[in-house]
Amino acid sequence: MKKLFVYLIFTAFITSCESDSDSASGQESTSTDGQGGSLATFTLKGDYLYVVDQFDLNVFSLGNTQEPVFVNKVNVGFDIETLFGYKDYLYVGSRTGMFIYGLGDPEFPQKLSRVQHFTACDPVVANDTHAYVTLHSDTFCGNDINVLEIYDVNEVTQPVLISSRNLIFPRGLGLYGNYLIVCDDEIKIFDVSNPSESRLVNAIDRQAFDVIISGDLLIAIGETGLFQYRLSTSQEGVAYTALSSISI
Amino acid sequence: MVILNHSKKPLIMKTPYHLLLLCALFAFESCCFYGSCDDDFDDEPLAFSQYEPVFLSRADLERSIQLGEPVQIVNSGKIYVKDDLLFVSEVREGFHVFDNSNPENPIKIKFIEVPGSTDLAIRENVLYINQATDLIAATFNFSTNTLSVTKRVENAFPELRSPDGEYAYDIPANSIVVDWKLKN
Repeated sequence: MKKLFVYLIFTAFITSCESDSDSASGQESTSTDGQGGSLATFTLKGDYLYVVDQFDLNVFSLGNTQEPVFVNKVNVGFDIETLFGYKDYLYVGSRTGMFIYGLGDPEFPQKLSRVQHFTACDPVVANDTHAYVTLHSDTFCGNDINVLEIYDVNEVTQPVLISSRNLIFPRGLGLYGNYLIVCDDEIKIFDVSNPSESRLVNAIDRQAFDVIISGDLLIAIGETGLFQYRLSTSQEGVAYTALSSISI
Repeated sequence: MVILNHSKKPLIMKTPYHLLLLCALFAFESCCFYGSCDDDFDDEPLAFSQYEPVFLSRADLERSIQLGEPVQIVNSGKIYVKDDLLFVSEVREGFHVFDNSNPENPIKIKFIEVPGSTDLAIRENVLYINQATDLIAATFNFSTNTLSVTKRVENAFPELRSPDGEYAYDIPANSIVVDWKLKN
């Protein structure tokens, strides 16, 4: 009996080590986590769930996955709209600007930088070197601004705006390798291998407000439908094949 | 900037302050909007939003989460992917669940009813959902048709504002705003 007890303790110890190393790896998402679009307000990272509301960044501990515990609330500002997690950073989109938070201490996200822009709604996605932001305005978002902005975030404490291009009504966006997919008046595909000179290379004639790029699968949601495409790249650029569309 | 909270109940100190500020703003704004401060405001002085709030009692809110059969998508919201499952938010009503193992033929298999919700995230078999002011965690297994709420963090998030940015007034006791509908 005693041996069994020791064995149990030992197993528990090993298991806890394993979960520790999982969280330390700081991957974009583990296979146990799902994937949201760019308009998401939730992101999972290590042993934590981060959620933005209108004003704050909320931190929940997932030490026990089934029972999240509220651990912290960090005031960000006003009209916070989206949250995107990449590596050890959180990108927060608001109607007044983009904020980058560091997760050196996962329970206390630290504000590293902020870029301000005119009042407009703005989802953001990022990779190792750049952050991509779409600004669009409608009745509630003020100003007549419809722009794709690209920031150099090699220095996360000092993002530098390197490109700004006018679009029609850009909303959700997603990265597919060197390509950026943007929901505009159609779903536009930009070659961003040189991010300071984004190049429109293809477009899908669908109106959507958000996308998820999962491997080669593109899932787009709009007011009138749910659309799926298979993406592929070649020397010429990027191609797509329609898989399904569900009318709403 | 950081409000550390050691107790389990979140401190949302901002809400009353914003409410106050809002009241002050409206008191002031009404003068500017209607030209003269001598006007009579008795005609629904607070009818500033084009929307009216939808309330649920806390007890009903906590009973409201159910796994049901698929329904029509009406007001599509955010999307989320987990393995072969695709979730589409029905804004402030719940989530449509698709079996997307074949993206050429996604099949709608369930509807998760969660009044007041817009967002979710999934780790393993646990759903995290914002339900109006609350964060909930629920385990799911669609093949056995089970969904059970394992945790509810009350009042984690601020009260739901109308799409035109207003707060509800005259909220019934122990009730939560779960939606806003356009006034007739």
